[in-house]
Amino acid sequence: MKKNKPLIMLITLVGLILIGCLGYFSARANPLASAKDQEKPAGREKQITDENDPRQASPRSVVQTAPEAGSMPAGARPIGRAQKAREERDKANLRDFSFAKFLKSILKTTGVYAFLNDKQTALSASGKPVTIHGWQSLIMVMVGLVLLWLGVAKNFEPLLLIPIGFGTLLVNVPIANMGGISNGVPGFLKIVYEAGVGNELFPLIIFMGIGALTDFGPLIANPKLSLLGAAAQIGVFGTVIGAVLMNLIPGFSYTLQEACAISIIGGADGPTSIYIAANLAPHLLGPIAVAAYSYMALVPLIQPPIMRALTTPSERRIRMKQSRPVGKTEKILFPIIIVMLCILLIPAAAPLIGTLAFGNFIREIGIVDRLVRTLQNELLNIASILLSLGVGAQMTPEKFMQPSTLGIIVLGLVAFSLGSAGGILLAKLMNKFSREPINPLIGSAGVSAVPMAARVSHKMGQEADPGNYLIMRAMAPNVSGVIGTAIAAGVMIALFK
Amino acid sequence: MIMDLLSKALMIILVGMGVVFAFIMLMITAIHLNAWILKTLGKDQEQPK
Repeated sequence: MKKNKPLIMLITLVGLILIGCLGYFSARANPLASAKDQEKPAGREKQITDENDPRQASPRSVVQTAPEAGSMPAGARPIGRAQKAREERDKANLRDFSFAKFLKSILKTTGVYAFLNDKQTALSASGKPVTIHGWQSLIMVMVGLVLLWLGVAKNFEPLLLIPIGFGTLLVNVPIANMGGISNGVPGFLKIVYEAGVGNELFPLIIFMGIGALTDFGPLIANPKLSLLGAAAQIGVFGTVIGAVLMNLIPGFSYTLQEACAISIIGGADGPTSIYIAANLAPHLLGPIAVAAYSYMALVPLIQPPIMRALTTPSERRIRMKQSRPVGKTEKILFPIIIVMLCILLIPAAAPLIGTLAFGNFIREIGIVDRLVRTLQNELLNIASILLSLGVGAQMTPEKFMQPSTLGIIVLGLVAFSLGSAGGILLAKLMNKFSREPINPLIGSAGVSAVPMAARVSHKMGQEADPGNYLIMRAMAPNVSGVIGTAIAAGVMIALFK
Repeated sequence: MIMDLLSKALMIILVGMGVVFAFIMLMITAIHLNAWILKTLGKDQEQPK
């Protein structure tokens, strides 16, 4: 029996498919059969309406036997036109019911049928109407599976790529329409997107969590290293030119807003990338977020060759001085300082800097531990899940399967490499003029990607000199990179407001 | 068209990098100033719990 189990299952499956096909073709070949079937339910309907026993009468039959609006007693509600139409439709459905039709409609609601036959018109990333075929949704399902594989098997940013991958998978399920609106009711992914991705709430909640998790001590101890975080922003701004130049290639036409939204990938800061994309180019949100998180996960692969190319072995061996201890009051006042500077200099960056400072302030004051724990754990995790699902909801064929996605992937890599190089080159320059030696390897940590970029600098330093501990020194440009990217984002928002 | 976009992109680089560096420089100055004030007031020895 056990040996025959697969065979039995196969026969059952083939049988079911044959039954389905028979029903489908019989309905097509013999339209009279359905006409014949129409009479039966009509008779049945009559039977129901003729029932005198009110206990057996369905609500539908009660409505049917209701008196005419004109002869109604005062206070009784007349039957609406829409309700009448619905009743007529229900009646017609009941009359039209046949086994063949039933099978046909079941077949038409299968995913296989939809993937093979579906054809819809949707707005592309550039706002032009495009025809989307079912097979394109199937490819997007595959993309979702690849993202899941990257997250699960390769451990690439699993906290984010797994929900994004699953969101991609779900939003491309045909018929269910989870990412859109059907019959006036929004799908669950649409609700998630509207609740916090489209209105930029979730990235800001994540920024609060980042603030609550970040220790700005290394930056306060050695503030001049924060210049490396500023230098790394050349990756963000430099890529704007790259995006504009890409317009020379046929098939690409980025606007300045789109170029800015893409270039922020160079900041290696996921929430900021999503924040800017939602603000300047919401139609590119999916590809930008996926590219940003993918490159963040690839920091240990992308940065080392750039670091080796731009530094000499002797520079990599440079040992840096121990930082001074930082007092509690200094740490408490730091978030207030950056908020005040933000208010005075670039208020457009206040949502990002403000939420980061809020999270860090309540961490440092040390009297609201419950709130800090909530920000660091539950709130951050909930926002991450919903944000990633919302991003996945944007991974539809009309938005993803476009030439612009290819451009985003290329430009993202350029932005990331340029940012890393910018930090290293400024560190080399500072090393020439500084009294205290600066290891240029920590410059690449100026791109945010906290703390992975700092870890890469540390690891590279240890490869050159196993006794060299750069991690705490690299944290200074690393956290200043977060501030720098938020300011860069504020500049871009201010430019297009 | 491209030249127009390029000139605007160049302006974005100049303004953007200028603002980012200005912010970070001011932040560095504020951190030093804050440390100096706290040292003067004798409040720089308090360590986080």
